[in-house]
Amino acid sequence: MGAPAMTTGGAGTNRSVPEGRRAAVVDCDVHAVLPSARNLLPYLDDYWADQLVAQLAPYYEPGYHPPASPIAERPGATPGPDGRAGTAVDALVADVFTDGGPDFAVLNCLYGVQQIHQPRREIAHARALNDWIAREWLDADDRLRASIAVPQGTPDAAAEEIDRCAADGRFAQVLLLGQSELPYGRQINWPIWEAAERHGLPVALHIGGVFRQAPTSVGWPSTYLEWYVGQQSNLEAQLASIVSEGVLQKFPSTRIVVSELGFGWVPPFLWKFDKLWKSYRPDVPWLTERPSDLIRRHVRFTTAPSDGFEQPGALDRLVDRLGSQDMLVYSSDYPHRHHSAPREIENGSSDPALIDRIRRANAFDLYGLSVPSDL
Amino acid sequence: MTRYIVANATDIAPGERKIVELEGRSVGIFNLDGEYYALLNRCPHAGAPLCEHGTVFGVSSAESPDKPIDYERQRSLRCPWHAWEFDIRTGVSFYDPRNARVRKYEVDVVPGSPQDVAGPDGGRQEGPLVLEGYAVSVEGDVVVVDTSRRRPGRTREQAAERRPAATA
Repeated sequence: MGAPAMTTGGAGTNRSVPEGRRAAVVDCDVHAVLPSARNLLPYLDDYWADQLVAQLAPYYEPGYHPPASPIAERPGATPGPDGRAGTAVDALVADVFTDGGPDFAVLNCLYGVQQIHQPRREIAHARALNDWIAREWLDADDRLRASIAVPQGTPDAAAEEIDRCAADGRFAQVLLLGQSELPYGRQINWPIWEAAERHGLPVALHIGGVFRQAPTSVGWPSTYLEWYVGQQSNLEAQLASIVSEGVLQKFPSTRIVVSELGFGWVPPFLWKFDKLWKSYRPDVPWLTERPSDLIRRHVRFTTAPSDGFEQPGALDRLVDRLGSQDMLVYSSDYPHRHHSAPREIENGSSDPALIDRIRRANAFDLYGLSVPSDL
Repeated sequence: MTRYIVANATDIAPGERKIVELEGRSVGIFNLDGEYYALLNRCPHAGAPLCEHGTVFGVSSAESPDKPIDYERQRSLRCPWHAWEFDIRTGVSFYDPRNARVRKYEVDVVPGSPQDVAGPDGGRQEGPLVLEGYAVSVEGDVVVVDTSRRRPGRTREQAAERRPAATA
C-alpha cells in the first residue's frame, strides 16, 4: 500500500466563494459557558422551569474542563461577572475577535444537557440551551455562529431539534460528544445524521461524553488526566463505527468536525483501519473503498490542542502522512488553555498555502462563510 | 501461445484444486462445480501460496448499509496469510481492483488426443497440446491451461512505430 496521493475537496464541497468576497477565517471551536442553570429559566416552559427551581437549580457541569483547573482558562482570558471566562458575550467577543483574529467563530456550548438521563428533561434543556445561545449570544454579534446541542439520548428528538434550529440560519453545525451511549454509526443514531445532511450542517464530534457508561473504553478512570488523554481512543472507535456502519454511504453529504481531540493520532489509525478492512471487508460489503479515502473526504479536525505539531516542520510532515491538505481547520478552543497558543500551529508549516487552507478554505468547505474581499 | 495439459478432467473433482508448475511458475487450477479457474499461486501482497492454501469463499455486496447483503458462494479466493480476497474468476482483488490483482490463466476442458500422451517420468512431448511435467492418461477430457497473455506486450519495434515522430 503506497502513500496516498494528496486529495483536495471533500464531500459536498461544490461551493464557490461569491464574486467580490473571500472565504472567511473561521475559529471552529470557541466555548460559550452557561453561567448558571437559572440562565435557562426564561427559555424553559413552566413545567420544566418549576422543576428546575424545585430542585434548587442543579447545574449540569460537564466537568470536561473543571473550573479553575489548568486547562479551563488561558492567561489573559477576560472573565465574566462571575469570574469565569466565556460566560459573557462582550468579553468573549473582545478576546476572540482581537486584531488578526477570525472573521467568524463557532460557539460550542458544552453545558451538560446530554448528561441528563431523563429523556424529556434532556430534550427541554437542549431546546432551552439553544434558545439561550441564539438570544444572548448570536443576537449580540453577527460574527458568532453556534453548534446545535441535541438530546442525544433520543435521536428522533435530536433530529427535531436540528430541524428547529436550522431554521434560524445561524447554527453552523450539530454538536455531538465524543463518547455516546451507542456508537454514532449505529442505526439508532441515523436520524441525527439524516437531519444534519438534510440541512447541510456538519456534525462536530467534540471531546465530552454522555456518561451512560464509563467514559473511556476500558472503564472508569481515576483522574481527570486519564479522562482527557483517553478521549482520542473514543474518537477512533466512533470513526470506526461511522465508517463501518455505512453512515457515509447512506448520507453521502455528511461532514464531520472532530473538535478538541487532536489529530496526530489520525495517520496510524487510518493505516490500521485500511489494513484490517482488506481482511474484514466481507463484514461491511457496502464499504467499497478504503476507510481512509472516506475519512479524508468527510472528516475534519480542529487544530487546538496542537499536540506538538506547532514545532517547525511537524505540521508539514503530519499533513503529508494524512495524505490531504483538507483535513485540518483552525480553532482557538477559547478560553481553554493548552501548551501552545492557538496560532502557534502556523509555526509547524513552511507552506503559507497550507496555513491559508487551514484558516479559510477548509472552513469554507464546511460552513460556506465569506466576507467582502477588502475586509 | 502455449497450452499445457495439467490434468485429466476427472483428476480435479468439484471443490478440489491442483497446483502445477508451468514455465517455472506455480499455478493453481480450481474446479468449482464444473467451472475451472486458474490463478498464479502467489499472493501479490506478501507472496503467500494463495492457491495452495487459500480458502474459496463467497463474495458479499450490499447496495446500501440498510439493504440486504447479497452473498454469492465460490466467488473469491481468500489468502491464507491476511485474508485479502481476490475474484477467483479474474484474479482481481476486491479491496483495490485497479492495482492489486493475481495473474489469471485461461482454462479449457478439451477432449484428449493420443498425440498428447506423455511418459510417466514427466517428459515433454510436442503435440497439439504441450504437456509439461505431468503424466496423464488421455482417455477422457483433459484440463488445459493457456499461459499466453491475453494482451500480449508490444515488441520494442511495435512500440517505436506507435510513438509519435520526434519533432525537430
